Amino acid sequence: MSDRQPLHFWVNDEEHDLEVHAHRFLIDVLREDLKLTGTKRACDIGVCGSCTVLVDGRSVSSCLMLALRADGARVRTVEGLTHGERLHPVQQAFLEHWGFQCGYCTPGMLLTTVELLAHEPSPSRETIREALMGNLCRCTGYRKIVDSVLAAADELQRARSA
Amino acid sequence: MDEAAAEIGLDPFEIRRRNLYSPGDVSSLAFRFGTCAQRECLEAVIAALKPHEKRPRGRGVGIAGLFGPGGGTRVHGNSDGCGAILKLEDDGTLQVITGGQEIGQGGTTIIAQIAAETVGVPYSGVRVENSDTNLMPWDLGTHGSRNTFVAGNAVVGAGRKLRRRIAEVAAELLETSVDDLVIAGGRVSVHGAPHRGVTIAEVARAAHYRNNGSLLIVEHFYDPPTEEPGPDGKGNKSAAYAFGFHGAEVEVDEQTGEVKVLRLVAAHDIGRAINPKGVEGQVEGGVAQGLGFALIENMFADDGTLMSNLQDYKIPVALDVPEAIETILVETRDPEGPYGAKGVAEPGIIPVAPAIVNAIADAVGVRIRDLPATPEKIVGALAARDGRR
Amino acid sequence: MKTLAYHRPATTEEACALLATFGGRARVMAGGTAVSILMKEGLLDIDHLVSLERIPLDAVTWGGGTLTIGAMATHQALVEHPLVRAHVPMLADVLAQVASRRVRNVATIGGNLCWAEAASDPPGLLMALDARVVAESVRGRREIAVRDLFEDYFTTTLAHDEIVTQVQVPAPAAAAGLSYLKFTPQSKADKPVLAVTALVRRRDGGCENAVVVVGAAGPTPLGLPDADALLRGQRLDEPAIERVAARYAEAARPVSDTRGSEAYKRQMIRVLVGRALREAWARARSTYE
Repeated sequence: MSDRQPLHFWVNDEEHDLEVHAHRFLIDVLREDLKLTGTKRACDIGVCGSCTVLVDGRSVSSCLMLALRADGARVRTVEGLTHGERLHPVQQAFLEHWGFQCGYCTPGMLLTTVELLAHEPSPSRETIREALMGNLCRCTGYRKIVDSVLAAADELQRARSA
Repeated sequence: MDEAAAEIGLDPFEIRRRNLYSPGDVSSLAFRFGTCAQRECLEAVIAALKPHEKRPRGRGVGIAGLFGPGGGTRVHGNSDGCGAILKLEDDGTLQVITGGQEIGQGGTTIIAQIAAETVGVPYSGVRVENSDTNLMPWDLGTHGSRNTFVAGNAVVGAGRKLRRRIAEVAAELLETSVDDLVIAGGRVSVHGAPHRGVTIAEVARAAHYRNNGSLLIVEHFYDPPTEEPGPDGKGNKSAAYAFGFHGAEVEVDEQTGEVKVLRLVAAHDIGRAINPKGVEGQVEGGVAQGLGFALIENMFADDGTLMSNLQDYKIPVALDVPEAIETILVETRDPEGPYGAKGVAEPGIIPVAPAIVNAIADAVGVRIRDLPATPEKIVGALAARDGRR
Repeated sequence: MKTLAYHRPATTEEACALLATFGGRARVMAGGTAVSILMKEGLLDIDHLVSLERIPLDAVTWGGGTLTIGAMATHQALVEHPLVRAHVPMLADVLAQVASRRVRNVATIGGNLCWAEAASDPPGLLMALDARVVAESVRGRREIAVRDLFEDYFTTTLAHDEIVTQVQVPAPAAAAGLSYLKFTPQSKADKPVLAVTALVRRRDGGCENAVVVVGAAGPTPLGLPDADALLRGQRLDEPAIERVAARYAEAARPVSDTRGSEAYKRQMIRVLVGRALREAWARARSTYE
């Protein structure tokens, strides 16, 4: 058995110093070691998007990123969107516009949306669909997810100009 | 249906017009159709699709109708029941323990809405327990589009009992008769004298905290008034039926066989939309699943093993589902349904594939009989159409 | 996998030395998306992963008519890069179609080429533009034309201990027309079932030069210089286009799979090569020399 190697990173603004085996993936360390189970495992091959997290602001499949690769990085999971009891505007928008049903794809949708809106504050519906094309949803048919993203974009714009 | 229409010289819309159910009909399997808005749904879809407008080559429209159980379904033995327990707290909040489970469809929300409406407390003060089977009363399961109808009616029945109990205690407190009371928004007041009232919290406290007190806990078991089908399959197995029509417009690339679904219109007789966005969500989700079934999803076996990974078994992504999905909800206020509601969970998926396949036939004159209607199958059918091979 | 050591060398030299030392017991890793899947499938029997993540290999520069791209540049970084958009915008367009944003954020252009998957978007354009890669090892440095990089399914002509450090992409002539058709007949979110690239240079009313590459229809991307040459000096009319498309459809080696039969794919190659040529022709501006 090989030695564990050091992993020093931030998860939701909290600093962590762990020792992990090289073959472990980021999703495993998040869910099992840090007990952050908001990130979901479904297809395990990077296709479905339910394992999406943000690493230094960019969406990645945590099921395809070796944990040690995240050394020195700032990781954000869905748990890191709320501030205490206050929902992130993207979460609030999904809540108000029925942007989820079973919720399994939702953490991935939320984080992909956060990334999208950081780069494109006023996306069209078509742009949103393109941005979300890597996040599978079986329940909603995507329409209300697109509605939610648009509402979130509006709210973030409003908050910016306020 | 389209082929039958062509054989007898009717257009596909007229043949459906002439073969609709009406309220009060009894089917050959002894299903009793109470509310039935098949006609309204059909006309709504036709109006939206405008099928007689001239379209460019390669574009076509198609429709398909559905009906299914919308009031439970008595197919698991001679029972289709669900229980509900309501417990009113001292602070006026309401604990609902329902047999009906949440699978993501929004059942929790509907049950809370029904409970709040029936008892007269604010929605924000309702808690729903639906995942601890140590506490939950009997239910047959969340399937068959039955949750809103059956679990909902159990809550209605329990809620009415609780409302009665609240009225009895309040009548004492307000020194009036139960028939003189108005219960709404967490408050009980005297009819015509709204300043004379008590909060429901005060009613609960009064019931608990007195000599010879009582609890405000009620239960109700609702089993729909239906028949278990006999060995011949006949029997009114549902207390209400869901009806609807879908219409699809597609564009077919005749060289590659690729099908683009330009729009889909879904009209559903849902009795009553207790939560319109929730109902739309069910329909929109069903449309996406139906589209996948029609055009994309392909199961393969490799040496007897089903190939099952999401790299090879594709399901629709946001880019595969058209922006133009229109949901039309027709409310027929079914007398047996909770606040008139009927089930909608399964209906959303049922007519999608036939509507799309009919639209492909309208667009390029080929009839695909084996799903998914892949571009390769369409190219093959087009070659046969043109006598090429 | 329980004896896996994860190395993060700081220089290319260190990385090459590690690969030379550990031989077949080591594997180089760029973005990691492909290697991760190999690991999960149990297809990787190694003791050492040599990750390139700490080596500064992601710079993009422009000079002498060529974009020089560090092999560790991610797809998304290149999609967004001002030099790419300014000088070879088609490259940004093609890279933007790879997989999903999550994959593009992590997967590198060097990794894409070394993975040598047939169902891949970028190789066709890179071949049409006569791109080259630079490969380094303890034995030194060499340049390989992308056209000569692919040997078979998931197999390059690189030695096991060679690392691709750079991709050099000559910009097309200003008046050239480029087209890339990614054929995804099932779901839009899919690898290309067929990947057809066309480059056309016009001169007056005729075609000065044309290059077609058909990907995902055989073990390696297919280019037929003899077929392309049929268009030289010709008007790009239907018969001319059809002749070339037929040659590609015949020479390709598509495989029947869950996305379509061999016959259907051959038929689609004909259709798509025609469409790509027509689109490239329409986009090309005539040059006057």
